Amino acid sequence: MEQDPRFHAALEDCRRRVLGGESLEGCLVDYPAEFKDELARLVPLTEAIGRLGSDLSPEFRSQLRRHVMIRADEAKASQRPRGFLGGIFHSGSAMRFATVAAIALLLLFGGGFGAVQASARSLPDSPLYQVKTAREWVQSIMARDADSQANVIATSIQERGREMERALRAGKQEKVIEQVLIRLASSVKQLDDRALEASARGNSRPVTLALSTINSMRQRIDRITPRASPSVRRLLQRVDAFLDQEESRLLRDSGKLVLRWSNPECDSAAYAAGGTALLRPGGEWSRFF
Amino acid sequence: MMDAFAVPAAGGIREGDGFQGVSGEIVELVRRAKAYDRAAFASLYDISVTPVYRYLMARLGVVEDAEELTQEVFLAALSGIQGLRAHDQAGLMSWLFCITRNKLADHLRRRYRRPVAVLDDDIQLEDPGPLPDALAVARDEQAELRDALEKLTTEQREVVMCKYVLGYDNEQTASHVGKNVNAVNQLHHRALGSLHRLLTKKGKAGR
Repeated sequence: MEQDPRFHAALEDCRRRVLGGESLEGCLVDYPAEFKDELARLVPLTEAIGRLGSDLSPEFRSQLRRHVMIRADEAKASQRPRGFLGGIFHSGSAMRFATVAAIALLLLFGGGFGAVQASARSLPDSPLYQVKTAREWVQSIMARDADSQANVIATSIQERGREMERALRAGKQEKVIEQVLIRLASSVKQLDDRALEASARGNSRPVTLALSTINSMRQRIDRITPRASPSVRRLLQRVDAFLDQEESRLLRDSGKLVLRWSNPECDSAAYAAGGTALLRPGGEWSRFF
Repeated sequence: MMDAFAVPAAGGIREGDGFQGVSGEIVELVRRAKAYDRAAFASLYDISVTPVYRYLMARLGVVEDAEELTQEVFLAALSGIQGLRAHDQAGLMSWLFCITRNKLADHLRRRYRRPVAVLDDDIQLEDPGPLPDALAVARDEQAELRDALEKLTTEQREVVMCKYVLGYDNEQTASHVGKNVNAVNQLHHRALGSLHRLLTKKGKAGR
């Protein structure tokens, strides 16, 4: 029977007729007697196999279609002709950084102010972000003394805080927010290191600025955490714990007398006053030695 | 556009199942899809999503798993589109089913490695109520049949899936499994015989 092409043809024909609504018993009479038993066994089996593969729901079909189209659009966007700048942005890291820095210098001093301005609100998933990064790097290497270096780093930390909020508002993917937070943490550590170096040489202003910057970041994180998704909230909590740790390090290693308060109305300018409390009516403060 | 793999009318033979369409159209669609042309992608998706899903549903039996893997297949296809070398619909489906089988194999490996969660005695599960007898019996039969399918050789299973889940004819099945029509007929008959024996042992065949 296995090698008999007539049987296979009978099986296909009988199955097609049964699927079309005829009864199996009614079909079997039309086939050779030697096939009937085998057909009676196998036709129902083939029907059962066919029933295993149910069709997808219209909702899932259209939902998946949308998802695939979005990914196709993203893939197309990443494949856009890069041109000269795009090719550099995607080249090896050392070459890329040196070239981007040179371009940033050119933009800064060569009248490419439009591109620099355009990068101001960019986030890590934008090609212009590297222009912003290069600009900040150029600004940091041009800062001559401890105070101006601390100011540049503190400014970049504040920008990371704004990026964090923009990324959350724009519903960016978690990895974009994570990149911002990693850069934030790295800059805070850098600022604290520079501030403690300056403090050791008798200049306490960078420590004051660092403490003020950390306080500002922690307030920003407190404000945005309730609006974040659970996974982003966990990232924010980790960064907050890191900021707490850096703040403690600054306080401990600088030996600085600091006034700390719990009243949110007291602004961080009090840190810059170098120990003088600015107390607003109804506020509380405690002094740490 | 091509109407292959159209959703069948309830209870009837599926008209339009199997391969249709002109090879030149597929070549053009593939070329445009490699350039990430949205409309080309949409057309390729529309042609192929039903057979991929039906295949996965037949193998897995769980809607959520079939949907999840179908999504994985198409996203993987999108990522690997530059590697597609199809000149006709058979070539396209062959490529897609290669991805499908790989994703399915990964899924089955993960499923067998995953530890079974032990429910806390305090957790009260909502009782959905008894299933109608006929539905319960049908689900049991399908589970037995899927189990029996997994016991076939890979080639036998693919032949059976092609012919009865995907609705391919002998030539299309032969192209899909990479054999000639005679070999497909042999595999087909042996697969059905094995399935019948396996199910008869459990007393389920022919219901």
